[in-house]
Amino acid sequence: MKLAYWMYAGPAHIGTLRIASSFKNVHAIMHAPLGDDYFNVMRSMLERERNYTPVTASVVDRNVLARGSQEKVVDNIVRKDREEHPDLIVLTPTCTSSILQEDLKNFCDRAQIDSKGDVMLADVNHYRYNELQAADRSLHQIVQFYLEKARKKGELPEGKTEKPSVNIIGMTTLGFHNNHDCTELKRLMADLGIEVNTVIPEDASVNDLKLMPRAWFNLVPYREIGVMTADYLEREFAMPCVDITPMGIVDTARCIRKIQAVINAQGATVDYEPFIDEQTRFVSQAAWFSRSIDCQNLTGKKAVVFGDNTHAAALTKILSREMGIHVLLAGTYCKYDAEWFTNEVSDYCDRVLISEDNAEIADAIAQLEPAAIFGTQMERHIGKRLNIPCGVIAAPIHIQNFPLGYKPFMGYEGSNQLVDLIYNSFTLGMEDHLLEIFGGHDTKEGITKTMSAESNLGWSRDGLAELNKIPGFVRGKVKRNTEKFARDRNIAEITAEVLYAAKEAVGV
Amino acid sequence: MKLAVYGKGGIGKSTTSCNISVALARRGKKVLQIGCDPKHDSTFTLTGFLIPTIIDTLQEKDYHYEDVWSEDVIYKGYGGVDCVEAGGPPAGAGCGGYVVGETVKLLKELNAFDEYDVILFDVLGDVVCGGFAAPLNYADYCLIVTDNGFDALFAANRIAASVREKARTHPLRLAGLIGNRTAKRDLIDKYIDTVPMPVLEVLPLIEDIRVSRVKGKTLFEMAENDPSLNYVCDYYLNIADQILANPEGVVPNDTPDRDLFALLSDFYLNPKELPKTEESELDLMMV
Repeated sequence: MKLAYWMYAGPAHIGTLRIASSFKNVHAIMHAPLGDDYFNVMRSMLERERNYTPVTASVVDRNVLARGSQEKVVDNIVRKDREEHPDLIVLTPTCTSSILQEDLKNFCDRAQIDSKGDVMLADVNHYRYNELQAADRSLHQIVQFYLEKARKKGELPEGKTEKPSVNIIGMTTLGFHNNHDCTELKRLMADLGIEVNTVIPEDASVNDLKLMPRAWFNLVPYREIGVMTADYLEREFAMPCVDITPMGIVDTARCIRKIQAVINAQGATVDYEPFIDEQTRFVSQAAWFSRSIDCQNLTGKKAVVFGDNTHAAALTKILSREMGIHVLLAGTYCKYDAEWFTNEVSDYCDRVLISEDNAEIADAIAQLEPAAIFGTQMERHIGKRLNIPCGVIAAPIHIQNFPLGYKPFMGYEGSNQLVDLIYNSFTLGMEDHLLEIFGGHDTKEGITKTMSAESNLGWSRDGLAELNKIPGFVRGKVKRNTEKFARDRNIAEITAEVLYAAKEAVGV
Repeated sequence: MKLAVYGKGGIGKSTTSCNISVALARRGKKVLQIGCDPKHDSTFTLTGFLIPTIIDTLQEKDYHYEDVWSEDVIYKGYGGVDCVEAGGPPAGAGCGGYVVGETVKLLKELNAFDEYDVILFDVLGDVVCGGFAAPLNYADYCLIVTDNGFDALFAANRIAASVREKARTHPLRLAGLIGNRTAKRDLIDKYIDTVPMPVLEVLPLIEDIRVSRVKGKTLFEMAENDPSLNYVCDYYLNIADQILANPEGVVPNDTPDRDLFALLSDFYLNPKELPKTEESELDLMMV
């Protein structure tokens, strides 16, 4: 039985709202019934910003249901335009209100007449796309809107910046360590002598979007958000795109080499090889550390990776390529982009899992019994129940993913952070033996914890005591085999006797 | 007893409903007819004017349910039939289904459901969402108005599917089909061969029924001055009598849309080819 419904990615309107509230001076209005407007709560709780989240709801109440919205949405848009003077108001329905199929585009057009700022309907199908896809689409829509507007007015800038420059696309509010990644990428660009032309959408003004074509290239560090925008800019403005996630020593170097190729093709003459060499060998700690005696005992350890495309793919490659850890299974919940993920990781793991069902992942983990998990908060919970340590490497976002200290995942400092995270996630050398001697981390009888919710098998006290005497490294296997033995014979309670019988029968 | 009348748009549901309501009243029953269509003209032939809708009233009272009384929403119609109109938003705004559900709830709160012998829901064209299927949650019988045409029977089949779905959890039965404006009934017969269900009555195309609609009068009211119309009233009285006899009804086994499409279109495209081939086969047998 499934006890709870769990989503790895939120509904579409959350994606749109993340984009809208990342920009400076953009207001979003939800056409939503009460209760659908929890985005404000979520964002103010997690981001801990000084300002109110610039999102309001035009509430779908019984009057709206009984008579239609009439002037309500239009009035709310115009009122917000007058009160807050935003550059742009984005209107979005939620899953619930999109059932009504009201003509929201028409509301926007009518509100535009009386508004000083721009008014736009987020053009997303709420039953087809999830949060990440909707965010990608909304960002593209806003960028396209302002570039076309500038083109019509003849305000598009001529030519490129004097020095090589970059647009960093995809930094958003409520993104996984996005703000730290952003700082790290800016530093990296500075080291490479590349000017940052714009960073969007986080802290960007929509009025600056028209300056985007001045950059020499676009950098899309995250697979989930920004790809559509970069494709559009490539199509319309022939801007090359670098879409290699600079995560881990190897891929950071790959990313830098691609940047070098892209800007040298436009007339620059840079050679980043000495920089990469310097960083890899002397600045970053990750490269020597993973070859050090400390990391020796990680070699060949088994791990499961699960997360969004960007982070799960990057982690899989780092674990396998840079740290010699055996990745049993790499998985993603980005089902819509499964092909990309499979291509990225299939050389670095035994098995690929594409699923949005947390129970499927839990069962896979329970079966594989890895030494460590690298996953989302959900896999952390799974790990807790199975007594397997877990490092959190991807969204869904959680208050713990807004650390006060500097914890980027990208660039050379990101590599250090990741090595720390990986190293500290495993139960290490002596700790293994100490746990054995003192009987685990906690004194609770955690041994009955199981991932399959249908299991109605119980362990009697003496059965448990006997099981606890078995050395930890085989205990899971013994427990599984005994439970299988009991299930096959319809034994409801596993006593010490049953355990012995199973041992005789199976030879465990 | 609660009845829900469904059928394809424009098939004459409201006219039929009003006349059945009066017929039931003539048999001494206390009848309430509820128009469940945002068009709110279901009870027009009973009252002679468009009565205020439930939603109009609720809006006027700012949704203070405690201020809404039966008299505010229930209007007396011809022949002692009480009338209610649910109302609803214009097309493309709000949610018509919500309004139907809300109406039914409000009438329950007003205890209106217990005061009547018969309540008749007259629901718009087709069952499109949960709201418009809401009357089926309360009804004992569903009646489907159809004609001898492809479209109406296709719609009837969809409604039959809804009845089947609802009958899993509710004591709902399909009382049967009512053929309206039906001179020939061959296609109806073909349909009920495949999906067995009773046919309560088949009314021919009668000009006076159409006229009655425009005049805002039921046939019974018109027959007061024109006794020649009494034979039309008898059709409706017949339907009323059948319903009052508490028929067993059926839970229809609906045909998948595609099969029905093939069945009915075959009827038009290959008329009466079947008997001929049989004959020729027989000839061969003779040889």
